[in-house]
Amino acid sequence: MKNHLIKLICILSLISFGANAQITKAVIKTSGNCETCKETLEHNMKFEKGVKSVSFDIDSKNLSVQYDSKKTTLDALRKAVTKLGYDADSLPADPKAYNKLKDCCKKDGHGH
Amino acid sequence: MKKNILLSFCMAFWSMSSIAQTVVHGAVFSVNSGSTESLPGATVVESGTTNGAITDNSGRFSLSILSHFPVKLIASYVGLIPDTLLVSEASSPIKFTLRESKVLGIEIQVVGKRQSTEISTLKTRSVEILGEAELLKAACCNLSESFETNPSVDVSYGDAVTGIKEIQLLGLSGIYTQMMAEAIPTLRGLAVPYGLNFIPGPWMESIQISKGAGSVANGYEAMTGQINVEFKKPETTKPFFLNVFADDEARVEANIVANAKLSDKWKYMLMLNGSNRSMKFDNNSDGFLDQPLLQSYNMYNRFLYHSGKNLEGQIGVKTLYEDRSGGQSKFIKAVDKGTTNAYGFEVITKRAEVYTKTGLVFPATPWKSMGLQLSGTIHDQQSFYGLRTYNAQQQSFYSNYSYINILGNTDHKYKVGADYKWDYYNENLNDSAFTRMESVPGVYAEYTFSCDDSKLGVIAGARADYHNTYGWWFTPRLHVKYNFTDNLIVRVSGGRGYRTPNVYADNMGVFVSSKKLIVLESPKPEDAWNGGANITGKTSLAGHEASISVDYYYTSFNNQLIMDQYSQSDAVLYYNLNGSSTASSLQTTLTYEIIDRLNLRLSYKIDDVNTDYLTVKSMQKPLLANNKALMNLSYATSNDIWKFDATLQWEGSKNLPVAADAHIHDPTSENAIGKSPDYFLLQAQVTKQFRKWEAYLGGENLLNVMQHHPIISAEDPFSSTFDATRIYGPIMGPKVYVGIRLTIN
Repeated sequence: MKNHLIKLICILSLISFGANAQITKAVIKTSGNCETCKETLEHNMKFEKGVKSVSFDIDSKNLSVQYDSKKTTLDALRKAVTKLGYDADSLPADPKAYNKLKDCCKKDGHGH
Repeated sequence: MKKNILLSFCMAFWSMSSIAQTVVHGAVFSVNSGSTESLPGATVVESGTTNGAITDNSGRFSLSILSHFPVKLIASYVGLIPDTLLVSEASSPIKFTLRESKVLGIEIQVVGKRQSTEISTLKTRSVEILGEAELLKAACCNLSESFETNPSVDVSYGDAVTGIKEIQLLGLSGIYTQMMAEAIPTLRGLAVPYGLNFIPGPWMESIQISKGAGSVANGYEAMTGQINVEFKKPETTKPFFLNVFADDEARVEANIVANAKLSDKWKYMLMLNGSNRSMKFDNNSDGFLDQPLLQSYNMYNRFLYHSGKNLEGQIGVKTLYEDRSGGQSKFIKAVDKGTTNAYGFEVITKRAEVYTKTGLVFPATPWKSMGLQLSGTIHDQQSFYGLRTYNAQQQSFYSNYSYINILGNTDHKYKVGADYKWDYYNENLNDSAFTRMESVPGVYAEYTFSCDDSKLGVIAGARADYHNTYGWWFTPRLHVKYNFTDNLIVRVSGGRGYRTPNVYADNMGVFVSSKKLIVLESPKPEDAWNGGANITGKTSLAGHEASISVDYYYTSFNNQLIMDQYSQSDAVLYYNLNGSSTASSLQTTLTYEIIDRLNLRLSYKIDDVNTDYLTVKSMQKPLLANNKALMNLSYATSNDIWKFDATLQWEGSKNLPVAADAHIHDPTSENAIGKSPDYFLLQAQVTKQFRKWEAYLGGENLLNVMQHHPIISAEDPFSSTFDATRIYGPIMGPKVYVGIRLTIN
């Protein structure tokens, strides 16, 4: 049993700490402003290639991302944010995606 | 005239400017176990006035205030501690943070999405919360399976034929645990044995388990504890959710949870469940199906109302149809029913439940509220087990009015109320019919002391009920909590509980044997005292949180309807307790995050349930393991994209009921009462999340442990020795299942 347990832990560690990634941290300023935006951004960004962790702060509108710089670039991540309908630093939101957002997530939404 | 115009112009200007200056904006958040979430539907009022606003879907509000700055604003939400802020200017947004109330019991919990299982350090009652993450670990299929990774509640098969799963809390049968659906008592009476199968897992948001005496506000029935199920709510679910599940024994199950906003005030939610197993499996070749064939449809419609001011309401309708059948694989109902050609069983259950809940809050005095719950249930079961037929109906009505207010200040709260319970039972076993009507009005009062600055929390309650047959019942209950430090909490509870037993419905498992069912005397109400203590400690070990919790609960029956499977080898005897019947349960649970996101839970439990039977005194309850252990390991990758979960359980040896083929006539001799071997059970599950959906794969009983001949005289089911009730372990080998969950925004 003990051996199996050690094996299990080893396998799990391999999965999580996979081969030599270069982890970079970045903060992207977005136009997200509510709980729904937070969910949309966090849920979708974590499926972007190379992304290790994501968290969004509603008050500051900052999206903090940890990613593997060997697999993706900050520009690619910004682009992914715009595809979800939000501004990303100086890149404007994709208009099609923006129009599909819920009212509360639009820039003048103030949460309404 | 000129003067007047000037004056009114001035006044208009003055009032306009004052309006313009006195609109304040802000947001309300709730904090629950460390995570902060915006809170829609919270009330924000200007202190001392009735002027207020309700937060919108993202928890934001704007309020034009009546008086001059500085003004005091109070934000409140049912079940959370109101927050007061002094606002001196309108320019910057105001942020309110509401915390969970420390004492108000289980009816008002706000349960976070991310926690798995935890014992709150805030509540006076010891409540264990199984959150959504924990519920997902038991992917199949309903409430009875939700406890498979939880050490407090034991789940076991009642017999080898019907597939009923029974729960036990504190070593005692689930009949002594009060089941509640969002704080309304449910699954009472006839629904007890099969009832856990009637609540589909994917409908549930969380389960709260509280051991020991329950709140007097919910009635006198919670003798060993309460299990409350919270269903998914429109506020916290996506518009559409679909779950499809299949296992390797051809069980297919589908769930839909959908909700829609009908207007600003009304929300609608629909939950559907369908389950089917139509292929016959007999892997142990004893001629009997390993699991019954199943066909069930389950629907829950709920309408939620929020007036935006002070009225909240809910109307719900639950309907169910279930047909489970099985027995020998050669059984053909049309030909063999009522004959000794082949053994078959079928249970058809139809059930409808309607409830309403209304709550009135007073925005200016958020500590004051009143509520009314009404519910009506019709339950119908048509069944046969071999040559035994059992048909039963139950009609129930329940109403509960409660009023909550404070004594002096919010440290001292009280709840008073009156409730009324009416039940009509009609049971037919073969040719004998039993009908019973119960009508029980009752009143209750509960005092709560809680204060942010005090280490002490107290809930003291009492209720008086007048039962139409048994007269007055008095139920006192007490809960005390003391925080030695923020991380070391001791809780003590004690109280009395009552229950009217249903001789046959409480133990339908014994129908699948040739044993005679002999009721020696008419049953009296069951009556027990329960007392217990819990110590919970939390600490940080090497930067990771660890917690340890030790529980001890003791139940002592003044009267109990004894089901005696020891005294006579050819019969099950029912009689009222003559002597002593006690249950003690000691459980130690340790949780620790070994490395980031790898969580370990270890638990060990010792249950001692001793009863004086007719011929044997102080005998351990049959089919209950005195000793049990559980280890659960769960791991999630940093983004929760992969989740792994494994549970290893050990069940100690159990006493077996006297076998019908026992040739020993002295039942007190060592040989008469057999002992089962102990065994390990392993189950595991992997979940992978995708952008729009989630898939899971799991296995149960992976060590392939089986009780090989679960049915005695399976080859001759109409002989006097046939018995499918001596079940101590799994009757099936490994099971593999897959499923998907799809969410649409």
